[in-house]
Amino acid sequence: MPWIEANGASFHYKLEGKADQTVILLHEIGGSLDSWDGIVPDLAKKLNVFRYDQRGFGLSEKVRAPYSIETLVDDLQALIAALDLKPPFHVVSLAASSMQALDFQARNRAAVASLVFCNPAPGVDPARAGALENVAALAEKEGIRGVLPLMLDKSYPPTLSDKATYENYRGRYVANDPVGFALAFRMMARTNMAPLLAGISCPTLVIAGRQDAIRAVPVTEGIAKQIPGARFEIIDAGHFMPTTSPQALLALLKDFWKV
Amino acid sequence: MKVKANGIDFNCRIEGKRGAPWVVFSNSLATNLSMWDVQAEALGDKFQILRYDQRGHGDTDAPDGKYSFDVLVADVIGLFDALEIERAHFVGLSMGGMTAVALAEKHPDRLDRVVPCDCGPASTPQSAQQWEERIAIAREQGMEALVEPTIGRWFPPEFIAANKGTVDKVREMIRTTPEAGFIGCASALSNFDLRPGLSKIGTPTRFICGGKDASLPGAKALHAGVAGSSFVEIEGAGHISNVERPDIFTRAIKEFLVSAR
Repeated sequence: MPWIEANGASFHYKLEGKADQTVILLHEIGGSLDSWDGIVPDLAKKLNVFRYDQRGFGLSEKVRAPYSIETLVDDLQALIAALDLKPPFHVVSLAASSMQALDFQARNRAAVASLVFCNPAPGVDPARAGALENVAALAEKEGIRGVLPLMLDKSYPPTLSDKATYENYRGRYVANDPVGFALAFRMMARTNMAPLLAGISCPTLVIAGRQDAIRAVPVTEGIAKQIPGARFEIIDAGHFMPTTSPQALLALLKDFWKV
Repeated sequence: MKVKANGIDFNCRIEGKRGAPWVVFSNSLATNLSMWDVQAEALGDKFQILRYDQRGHGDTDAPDGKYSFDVLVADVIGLFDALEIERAHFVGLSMGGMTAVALAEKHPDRLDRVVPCDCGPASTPQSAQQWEERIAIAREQGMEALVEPTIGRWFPPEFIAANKGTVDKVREMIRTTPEAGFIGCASALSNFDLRPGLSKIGTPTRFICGGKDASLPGAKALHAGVAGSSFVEIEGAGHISNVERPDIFTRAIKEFLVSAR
């Protein structure tokens, strides 16, 4: 059954593969569990793979009220409990979901065996919050189409993948609920989990996309340097690396996890 | 080569791969197109490069009077039209960076991506006063008197000490800048405000700034105002970050530009 009630909302999820080790995939703002389609079939041959549509996105329940990063971490913990998933967990996050991964690890140190951050956005500089609030307001006023020039067109130039992959991603992106999209941006605008980086106590891989136009490689490298013992890698990829460069990402993940 | 645009003759250099996407480089106050030597060489295999001496700089004409960013932007569009450049990436440093931001606000249809470097969002009463003082020095004593104070402001002392050849080239650029051009462009810098148009910028933008550049807070404020922009801080570098750290700087622009379109 692909839906489950947890933390007061309905979540759409997929659980694939069979193994003792569980990978948790946290999608980006504007994405959905489909964002991981390019890597899941292969991963599920070796690992148990859990992915879900975050609150307000994909086929999960849409939101109308502001929420905090804590709500998203509560969601994940409630889903784990409801589905009776057993540690150890390997948590893979993309962009803003790195905030959620950081807090989840801080709360569940014994259960998290490793972390992977793809083009992470661990926290927003308060000076930049205004720009994110503007994007949120624009989405609420004009819908997702109104924010495309400020967001998707910058983060995903069509040249980064084949045409079908791009159109598929764009289609899903434009189909987002503008209110849920805006609330995610407002949540991001007031969240800064970067102080947790230095306290990470499990093996960690940080991956930068060389062609990420909205987060430059040195910025991601700077984040990796704040994590004790973290491995840092650069791959040919844009911001949405599981979508634009699944093979390169998959190769790194398999090497990191030795599977 | 000389190209007539917006009423004056511009000194331009066109290099790189014919037919490839254009990258245009725009210089800072009191320098010229040779400040981009390393970047033009490094990007030439993938891009067609246009470098030009900004109005009043290098071998471009230096009309008397005050210039403004409206004029510097019109210069760029005039050059694009004259050279039949429909769209381009645009990289500029300091005054060239502000030209890049102003272009992105006014002419997004002519741009693919922009990289404004070591620049800020607006003049202030204090900065206007400083420009007035420097304009007075240029008028009364000539550019020579501005060479050392400018070098000291642009580069960290340890860089000046260890890179005499490079710094001497920059000294020569300052020394040979036409006084009228310096005065005209300094007037533009003493009175501008890019803030009102920032939130509308849809052109993918990467800001670059030296970690020791006094422009750093201003560059961060620009980054904060442009949604979806990225920022690269070059640790330890001063104001002319592309000259100080050509390795990091060039990689940061190349990574950003190769994935476009």
